[in-house]
Amino acid sequence: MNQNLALRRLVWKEVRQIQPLVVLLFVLGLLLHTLVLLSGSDWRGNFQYAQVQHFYVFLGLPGLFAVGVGALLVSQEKEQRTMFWLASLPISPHRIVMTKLLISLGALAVVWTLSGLALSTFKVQGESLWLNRDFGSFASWVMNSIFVLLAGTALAWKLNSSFASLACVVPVAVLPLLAANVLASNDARLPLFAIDPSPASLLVTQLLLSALAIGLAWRFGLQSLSAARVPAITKPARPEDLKHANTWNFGPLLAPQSALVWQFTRQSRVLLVALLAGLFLGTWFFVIGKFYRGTDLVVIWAAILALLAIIWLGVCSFQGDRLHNRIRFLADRGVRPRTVWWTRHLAPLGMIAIVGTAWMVFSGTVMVGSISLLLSFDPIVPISLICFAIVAYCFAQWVGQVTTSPIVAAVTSPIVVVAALFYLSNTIMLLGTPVWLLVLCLPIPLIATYGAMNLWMDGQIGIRFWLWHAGLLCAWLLIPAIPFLAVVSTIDSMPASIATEIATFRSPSPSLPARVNVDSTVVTPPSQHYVGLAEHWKVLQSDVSKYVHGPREGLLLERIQRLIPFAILFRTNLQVPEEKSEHLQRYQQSIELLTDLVRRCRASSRLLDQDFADVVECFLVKELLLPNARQTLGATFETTARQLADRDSRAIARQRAIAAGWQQYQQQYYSRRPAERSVDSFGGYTIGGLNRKAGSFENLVARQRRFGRAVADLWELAKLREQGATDERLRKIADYWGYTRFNDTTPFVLPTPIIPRVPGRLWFASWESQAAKLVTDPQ
Amino acid sequence: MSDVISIKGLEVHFRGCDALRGVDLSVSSGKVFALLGENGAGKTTLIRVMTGFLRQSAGECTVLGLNPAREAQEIRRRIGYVSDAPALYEWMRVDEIGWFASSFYSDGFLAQYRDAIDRFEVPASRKIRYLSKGQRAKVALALALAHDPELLILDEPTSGLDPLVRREFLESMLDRAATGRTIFLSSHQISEVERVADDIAILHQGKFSVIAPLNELRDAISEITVSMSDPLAALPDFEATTEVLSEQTEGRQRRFVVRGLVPELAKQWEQRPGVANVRVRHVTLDELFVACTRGARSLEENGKRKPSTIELKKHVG
Repeated sequence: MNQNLALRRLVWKEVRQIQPLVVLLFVLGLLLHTLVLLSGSDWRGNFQYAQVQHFYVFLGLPGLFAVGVGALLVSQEKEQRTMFWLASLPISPHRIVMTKLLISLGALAVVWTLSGLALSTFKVQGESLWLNRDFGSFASWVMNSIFVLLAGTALAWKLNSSFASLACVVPVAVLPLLAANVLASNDARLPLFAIDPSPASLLVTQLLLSALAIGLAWRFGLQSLSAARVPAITKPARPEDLKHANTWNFGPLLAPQSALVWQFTRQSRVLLVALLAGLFLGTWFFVIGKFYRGTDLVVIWAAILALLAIIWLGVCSFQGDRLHNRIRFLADRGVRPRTVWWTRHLAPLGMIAIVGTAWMVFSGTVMVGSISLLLSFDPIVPISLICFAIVAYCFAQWVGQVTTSPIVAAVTSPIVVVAALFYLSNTIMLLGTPVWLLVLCLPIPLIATYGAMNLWMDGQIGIRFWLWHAGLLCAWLLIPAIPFLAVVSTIDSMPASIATEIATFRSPSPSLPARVNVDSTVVTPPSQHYVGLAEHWKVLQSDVSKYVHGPREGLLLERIQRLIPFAILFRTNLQVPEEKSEHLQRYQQSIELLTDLVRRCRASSRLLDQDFADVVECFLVKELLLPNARQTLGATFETTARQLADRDSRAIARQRAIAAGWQQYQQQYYSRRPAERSVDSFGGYTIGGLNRKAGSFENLVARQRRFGRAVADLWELAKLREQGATDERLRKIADYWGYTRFNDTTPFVLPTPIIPRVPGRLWFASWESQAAKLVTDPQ
Repeated sequence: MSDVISIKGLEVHFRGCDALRGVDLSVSSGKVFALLGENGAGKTTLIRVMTGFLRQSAGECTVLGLNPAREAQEIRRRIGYVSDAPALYEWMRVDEIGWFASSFYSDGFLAQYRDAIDRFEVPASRKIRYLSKGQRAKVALALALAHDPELLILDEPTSGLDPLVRREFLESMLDRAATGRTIFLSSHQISEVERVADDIAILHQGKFSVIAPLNELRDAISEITVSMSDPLAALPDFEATTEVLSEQTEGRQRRFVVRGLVPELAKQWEQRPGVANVRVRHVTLDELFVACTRGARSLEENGKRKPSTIELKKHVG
């Protein structure tokens, strides 16, 4: 035999056996990274919010590999009896054990490398996720994964069941931490795991225990592949030696349900004990983390152990019967599938309930200061933990039924549970799904396995089986999204055609008012007490002129509120013969200034300025409609009337403002993460203050869609150029923004003009047609 | 007598394979019915349909008056079923597994199981994983018999059993049948089936090529061996009432397995030029099985008329 060739073939076989696990973890890792990316993106291709959760995925994948590889390379071969065949080949047991160990360690290194490379592609605010990492802790994680791999391999050689060997890894994984705690502790009163050991001491214990684990794996492996030992008996067996003292002595017969519970718990006792230990360790760590707040590591371990234990309890409810297809024993005898179903869940759920209850009792009696440990937690903490536990168990048992291999089930179930929890939390945060709807979805995984029990027991894993599970999975995914989908499908949004029109709208550059020589020596006096009207008017004139022709500083509204009363005052004072010429001049100046102000506002891309311009124009129309206005104002009348009659320019200015406002709104909206997309301003208006329709829940998409429709209605109105008598859009706009339209210039009966609080309130009101007549009807 | 099993036009099609292509079958109570067939003929598929583990593509099937597609659990509770690879809990002891299974049946199960285990001489205190293949088969049989089912369905039940136990088992089958219990047996051990079966069916490529009471089959099927002095001499065709099941030529000898042989034919053939000798005898079940499988295959390959299903009576039993 060519030894080198034999070794190469052996290595090839081990690599081929390990390949599916590596590929599976790679695919699941991609899924998890994608989910984390989505939660940190704005859903429009911008992934600038890479999160620290990527680092946890990076740590978790090699850990899962380390847990599963021993079971895959050793236990599975023992279960499939290929180990027996391998041992029958002319290969030394040493070589077989050594090859399996080296290949699994090498594969672990590959998984760490690939996971690390994947992590290097993510950045948080431009910085690599590798920065600011505690590399001592990181080294400890790597070393612990090596320990877990070696311990898992030793357990796989020792135990018969692959799933039992996986489950036993859960409590064994914390041995290095325990050892480091014991060594570092100098206070016997401190409870176990209370100390956060230094990375160096943890590393030392991990190295020592890894050396022990490798020795055990070697020894157990050689024992398993060697000839079985028999007791040193020299006398021939007698018939009475074959009889067992307790044979046929069982007591009363059990009812079917009791018999099934007995069978399940006896069959899975190693598994159940190991997971129970994991559960207790997890809850213990949680308590320690509460008392000794410096131990973040302990809290992480708590979460991992408890979650893993609950998940694998769920998986074992069905995987326990998978081995050698022994569920067929019950199927062949017509045992009711529903009875089998609930007896499979009784023990695991009972364990979780017992541990949970014990923890609650314990934490209710232990005092932290003046209150019990239980009450020291925020109520949301235990409620969340219970919900997590339910979701984790439900999904894990689902995975346990649909997966044929216990190792695949054990490795994929934590990732599936994490993905499920991620989805559920995001439905609440992003889709606005009410909690009661999620509670409704909780039993779906249980319904899935219950409904497929018949097919599963009969081994009819065909199209019906998969369609049933696929259908319920779709239901589970869609039901939480129903409110969101209802919003998307029923709430009108901005039509794509209008969105395109707005995005491609181009208008000629607006003409600004001609620069007027402003007396720059005029300074606004600090006091409001003016010497006289003339001086006051001079100051105001200068101020408004600067505003119109220079940088826009200060409030437009304030200037309008000051300018219009002056215009009215000057007009009124025309009745005073002594000062008529002065007041006439000032009146004309005020009208010109107001006209310039309008032009300045029309040149603005802010929608609010357009409505301010409407207010001013409304006033101007009213002034120009007064008797003898033409004679009074002279050339100013013609200039102002022409501007007022220019409906096209007014409409274009409004459209430009809508387009600019919408573009700005979109930029702000999509520059934020989905959960933070709450933009409250549009074109200078505050949307939040408007009387808009709100849905039954605060849903940003609903708001966004409704607002988009409202802007579309505004746009369509602005395009009209004139008002229709019964325009449905006007009603919808008024409904959305919550106002009553004004149809004439009556607001200016009041001493102060109406402050525009909603867009479009004065658009195409009768004042516009009256303004048009100023030019066409000189009378 | 009422039919315990009734099958009409049963078809099962898998992707790329037609496992059953329209089978009809009726089994009366109190009979030992043997289903024979080569590997891949469809025997286990038929049994899986009868026990509700597989749904048929077409046709009807009732077992104990129940529809296996809808009432599989009830059927399985009332029958004793031993599959070709029975699933047993390896970690249980022999006595333990009987005690466990007794929870699903009425009183008396455990006592009967114990009797069967003692009869089969299986150590009751040993774990299943430490039993030999034959011992596991005995345990599976004992579990199937312990609740005294009205119908026993056995798929290769004696595989792995030593000859002594096989003989004992077969005799117990006869005893059971005598008490009115029905046994549906699928096996390759044709010589043993010959000793116990009342009715025989031979399944070939998804269809029954033979289904008849055993004794009538023996009378109806004959083998004609023609020794030719002139190998090129042609033989006349058989009568229209005679059905050729298989045809073999070895040197100067031609061998036909036929149904419904006209007795005078042998004498007529002996007088033909080129024919040295004609010998007629009744076939064994083994030879009939070979004729129905290999012989049918060679007839089909040679483009000769395919043999139709032999049914000496409309309803067997």
